[in-house]
Amino acid sequence: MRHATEILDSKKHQHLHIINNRWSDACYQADNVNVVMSELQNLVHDYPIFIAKNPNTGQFQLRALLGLKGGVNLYVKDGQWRAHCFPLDILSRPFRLFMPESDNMETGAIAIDPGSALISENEGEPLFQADGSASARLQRINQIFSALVNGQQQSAEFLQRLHQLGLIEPVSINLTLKNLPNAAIDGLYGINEDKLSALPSEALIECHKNGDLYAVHLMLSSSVHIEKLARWYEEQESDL
Amino acid sequence: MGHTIAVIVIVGGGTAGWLTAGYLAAEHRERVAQGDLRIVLCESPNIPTVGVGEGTWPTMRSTLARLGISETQFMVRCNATFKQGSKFSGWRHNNSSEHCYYHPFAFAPGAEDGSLASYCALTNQWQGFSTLFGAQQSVCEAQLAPKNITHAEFDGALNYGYHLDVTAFGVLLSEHCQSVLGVEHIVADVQEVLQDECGAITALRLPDNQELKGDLFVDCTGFKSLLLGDALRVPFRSEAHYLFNDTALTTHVNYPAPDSEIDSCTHARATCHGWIWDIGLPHRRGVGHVFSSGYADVEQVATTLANHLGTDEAGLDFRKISFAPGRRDRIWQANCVAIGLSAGFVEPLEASALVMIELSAMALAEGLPRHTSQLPIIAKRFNAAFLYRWDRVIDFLKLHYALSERDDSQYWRDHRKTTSLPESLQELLTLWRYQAPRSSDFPMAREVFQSLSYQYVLSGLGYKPDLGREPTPDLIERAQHAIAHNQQVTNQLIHQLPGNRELINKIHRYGLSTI
Repeated sequence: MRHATEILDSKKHQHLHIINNRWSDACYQADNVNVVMSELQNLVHDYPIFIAKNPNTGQFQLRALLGLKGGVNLYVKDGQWRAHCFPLDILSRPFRLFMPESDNMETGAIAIDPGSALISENEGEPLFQADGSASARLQRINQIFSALVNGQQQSAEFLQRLHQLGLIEPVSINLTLKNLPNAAIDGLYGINEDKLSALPSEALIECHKNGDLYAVHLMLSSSVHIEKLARWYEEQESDL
Repeated sequence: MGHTIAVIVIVGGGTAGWLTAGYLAAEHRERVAQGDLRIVLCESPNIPTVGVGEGTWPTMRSTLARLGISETQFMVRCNATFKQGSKFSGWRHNNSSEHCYYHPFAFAPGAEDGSLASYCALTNQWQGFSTLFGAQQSVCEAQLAPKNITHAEFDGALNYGYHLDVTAFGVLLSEHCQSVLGVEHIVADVQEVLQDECGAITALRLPDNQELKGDLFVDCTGFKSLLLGDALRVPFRSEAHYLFNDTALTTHVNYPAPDSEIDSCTHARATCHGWIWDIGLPHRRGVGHVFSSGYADVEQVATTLANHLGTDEAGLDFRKISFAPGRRDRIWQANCVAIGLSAGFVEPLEASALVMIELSAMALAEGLPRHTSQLPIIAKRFNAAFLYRWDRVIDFLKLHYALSERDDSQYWRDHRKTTSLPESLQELLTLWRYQAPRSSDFPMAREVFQSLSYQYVLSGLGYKPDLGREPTPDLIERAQHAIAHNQQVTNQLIHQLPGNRELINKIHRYGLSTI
């Protein structure tokens, strides 16, 4: 069930606590999450990273795949998260950023779903200190959203440069798994390796200098994790 | 004898002229780049262009793609919106509010052979045909766009064309043709058309005794038909005995609010004098009343249009456009081909003007003769193909009038008289008394109107075939499966697609991706 979100308020939510690491919660059930460029270096060790379009703007975004099927997060098993590092998007949950003007970060405010099962009056970490100032936990949340918003712009520009070089192409992930509908892995884009290797040397040097080439190689290397997801998917199917 | 065709001169700088120039230059890009072929467009500094309708067919998407114009650029520059078909109100009975039907652009898979329409006729659902087997009518009624912001340029969830500002389109085409496609542009009045002893055009005399020589000439001079009609004296053939309309009163109206939803179809509302179009652009609606000057005068029609708009006619700024419905006897003669109004024009009921330009420009570009000795053969083929297409356009437009049961004016009653029906249409209607339209009723590979379009109009206007049998179990199963599938698709699309204005705003802000 969906509840209305509330803007976080030091008076109204003064006693609010947040429960950590309860990965079975509904807010973590996603088959993909947004990723920003600065996360690539860490995330490629655990997650396959692709490109997808922002459903609201059509702009390219970086996306980490967490599952192969609508809404199922294969990284969560028996209440544990099966990776060492976490996407910022996951760490930001169950909070959300409310931005009335989508291109103006100054107007952004942190919001919470008052119906979330991760909210408590007595369990977990408090959000506010006795004097109403932000707790260490809330400060971390602020930093995460700040990194996400700033990274979004940087990532969009990075992907736009790749697109202009003709390096982005629609990809279809062909896995032969039983009961797997294709819907979850539609609409993804990846790097065209032939185009990459055929880049004229000036463009290649430019890509190297501005760090794009490094990021591209990180993305390419991350596709090995698809096999892991496929294995997890089949294990999960046989458990059912 | 003869010589190579190396210079093509297009006369006229309207949509027809620039689209033709664009098609030719894009199709023969390499030759133009190497200087082996020159495309020269000559337009008068003094002649205003006539906006031939503000609606396109889905063909415009492939036209833009061929010319290399981005969809985002096109939509922003030309104030374009998405058109998913036409909604006809009041065509069946006198009261315009009581009955309507759609002619959507979407294909209904498996309907070409008429079997699904037959199922509707056999199960008393004749008028439900368009919604049973297609999602587009429901999507239009919900004022939704045919695609999402995540769709690539020219891609969509449903088939679509555009509503657009044609004047802005002309400017965009002109810039693109010159800066990207290498079309040469001359602004000058043609003072004389010079011909050789065989009647072929050799050159155009321009002011200051300049001559513009060419090997092939394209007449895009609008209703005047300066080359094909005036110089080559190809007679005009009136079609007014079939299609009576010869006048349009047009105006622009504002939306009630800047964020009012934009309809994603052309409205065609019948009145006792003819019909009213209503086309939504982002910033205004283009509205016009098409009628026959032989049956109604301008004052009557202005009143009807003002009443329809719910305003005082004194507050409306009408523009009157007169036209002779008809076409030239031949469209290509010697080394001259007419494209656009110079070839012919009939009322804009199915927005056929722009699509005829696209088809002509494409045929010319693809079949461009390399040597003058090929001209008679190419001309013969071109004439056969396009005179056939003109006849089919006339049949299809007339169908809307022939099946109407309106009797509130002599205009509508005369439209139904057998003497006012083309023989080809009479034959089709005789066939369709006992069977649904099927693709084999139409022999050409590139028909202007497919069997499905006829099925939409016939079911919309209640012309139900008497099939005299029960549906076979096989047909029932196939149709019911298609209906269930369509229901599912319709629900998904209604849920997923954005409002027409919402998407257009996003395209203006973010653009569509090329992939």
